[in-house]
Amino acid sequence: MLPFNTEPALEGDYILLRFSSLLPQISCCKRNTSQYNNSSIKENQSLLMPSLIPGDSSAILPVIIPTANFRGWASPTQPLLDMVGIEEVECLTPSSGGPAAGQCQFACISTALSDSLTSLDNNSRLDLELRRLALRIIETNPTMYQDFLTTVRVSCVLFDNIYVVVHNNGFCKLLFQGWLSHEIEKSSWRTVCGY
Amino acid sequence: MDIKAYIAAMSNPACDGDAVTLQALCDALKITVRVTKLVEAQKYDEASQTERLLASSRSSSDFFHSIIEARDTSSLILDEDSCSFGSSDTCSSYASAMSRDSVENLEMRVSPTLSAQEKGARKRLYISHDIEPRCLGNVDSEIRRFASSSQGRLIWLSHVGDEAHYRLLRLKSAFDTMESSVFNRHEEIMASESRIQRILKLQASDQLVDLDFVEAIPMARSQTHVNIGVHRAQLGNRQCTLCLKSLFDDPVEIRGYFYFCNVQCCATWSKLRARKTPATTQQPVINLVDDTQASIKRKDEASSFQADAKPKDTSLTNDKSCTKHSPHRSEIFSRLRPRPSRPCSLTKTRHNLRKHKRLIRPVDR
Repeated sequence: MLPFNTEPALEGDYILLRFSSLLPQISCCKRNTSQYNNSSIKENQSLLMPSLIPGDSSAILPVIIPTANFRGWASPTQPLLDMVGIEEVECLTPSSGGPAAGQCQFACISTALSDSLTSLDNNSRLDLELRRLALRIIETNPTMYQDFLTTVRVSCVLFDNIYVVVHNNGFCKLLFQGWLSHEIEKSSWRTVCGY
Repeated sequence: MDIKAYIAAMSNPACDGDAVTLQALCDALKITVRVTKLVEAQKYDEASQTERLLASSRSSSDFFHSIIEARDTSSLILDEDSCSFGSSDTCSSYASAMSRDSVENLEMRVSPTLSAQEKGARKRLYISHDIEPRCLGNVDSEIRRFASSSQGRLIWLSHVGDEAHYRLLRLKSAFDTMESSVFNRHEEIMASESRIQRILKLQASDQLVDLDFVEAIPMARSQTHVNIGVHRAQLGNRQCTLCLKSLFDDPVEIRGYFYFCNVQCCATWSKLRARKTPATTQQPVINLVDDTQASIKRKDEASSFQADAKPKDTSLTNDKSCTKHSPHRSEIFSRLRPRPSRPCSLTKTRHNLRKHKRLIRPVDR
C-alpha cells in the first residue's frame, strides 16, 4: 500500500515522519543503541514511537554520510534517502524545453504542487508563473520583505566588559564580552565595526 | 537594497531564487517548506540537540496526546487489519521496521575502507525549521486562487552543493525495499495529524483562505453553522479537513469552509479545537458538536417525516429545535468567530464583513 498515491497532500508529512524516525527517540527515554536490534523491537515498542521534529526547530540527523569516496549515486545523500523511501528529484529539464538554470526553486515548488495547482494559461509554465507570483507579492507587500533586503551595519562600543551594539536601523543591544558572534570575535571586532 | 532593483534583477529567469523568493512563495501559496542540506559531521551534538528538541516538542506532544484522547472519545474505528492508534502490540511503525544497525552502519556499507582524509569529508543531513507562511496585507484574487489549492502543504527541498541549487524531495513511487506493512495505518494517521497540526497553526493565525471568496460559482449558504448532507455539486473536489478523504455521502460543513467526511471527523475536529483554544472559548466549540448531533437528529426526522420537504424548510424547522438545546445562535456566533483576527488589509476586512453577513443573516430573519 502506498498511501501517498491517494493522498498527495500528505507526502511532506510522510517525509517528516521518516526523517524523524532517524532521530534518537527523545520523547520516550534516553537512547540505548543496544536495544535497537530486530529481536528486541517487539519488546521495546514504547521506545520506538516516532516523534516528529518540531516545526520551530532544526535538526541534524545522526547518520553519517561519507562524501569523499562517493561514486555511483546521483547525490551523496541518496543511500540515506533510499533507506527511508525518499528520492531527490532534479526538476530542471532544459533539454525538453522545461525549466532551466535559475528556475530550480520555482520548478521544485511547481513540481511538488503540480497535482493541485493549475496554470492560468495552460500553455505557460507553472514555474515561471510562480516566479511572477513571488515577485508580485514582494512588490505589493514591500514592508514584509524589506528586512530581508536590508544590509545591516553594526557599530560596537566597549564599556568595561559590555559591548553596546548599535544597528543602522536603530536597534540597540547590550552584549557581554564573549557573546558576540564567532565571526566578529574571530576577526578584530574593532576593525570590523569601525570603532 | 532597493526593492525595485531587486525585483528587476530577480525577474530574469536565469537568476536563482533566494531566501526572499522562497519566503514569498510560502506567504503566497500558504505552504510550509523545509530545506535539507549536508553539513559537517562534527556539527552534530546529540546532547544539546536532544535537549533543544525536547523543549520545543513539548507543546506538540501535548497536542498529539490530545488527539489520541479525542479519537478515543469519539470512538473512531480503524480497519481490523490495521493497528489501533497507539497500541504497542500490533503496530510496526516505520521506525521500528527499520533496523537501527543498518542506519548506523550506512557509512561502512557505502565505503568499507575509509582513509583519514575521507573520514574528514563525512557529512550529516541538516533539516531546517519550518519556513512558514505569514499573513500578507495585499493579496489579489489570483494569489488567493493559488493559495486555496495549495495551502497547508509541506514541501521538502534539498539544497545541493554550495550554489543556490535546489532539488525536490519526495516519496519514492516504487518503494519495495521494506515490507509493505511499514506503510501501515499508524504511519498514515501520524502523517495526517502532522498536517492537522500545521493547519491548526495556520488557522490560529487566521491565514486560511476562504475558498468561496474566489470561486466563480457562489456556494449556497447553509442556514446553520453545521450543515449535514451538503449537496454533492457544491463540494467540488474538496477533501475532509481531518482525514483528507474524499467527501462522499453525508459530508458535514462547518461555517462554510470546514468540510468533514462524517460526523466522527467533525466531532474530533471540534474537540481538538476546544483543546487548542483558551479556556474562555472552549464552550462554544463544544456547542459545535451539540449542533452537529442536533443536526443529525434533525436530518433523521426530516428524512423520515418530511421526505419531500425542501432543505430550506428543514433548516428553518431545525432552528427552533436547536435553540432548545443550545444558546441563541447570535451568541454562539459571537463566540465562534475566529480568534483575534488582525485586520491585515482592507481586503481582509471586507472578507470578514462578508462572512459576518453570511452568518448573521439567519438571525436577522
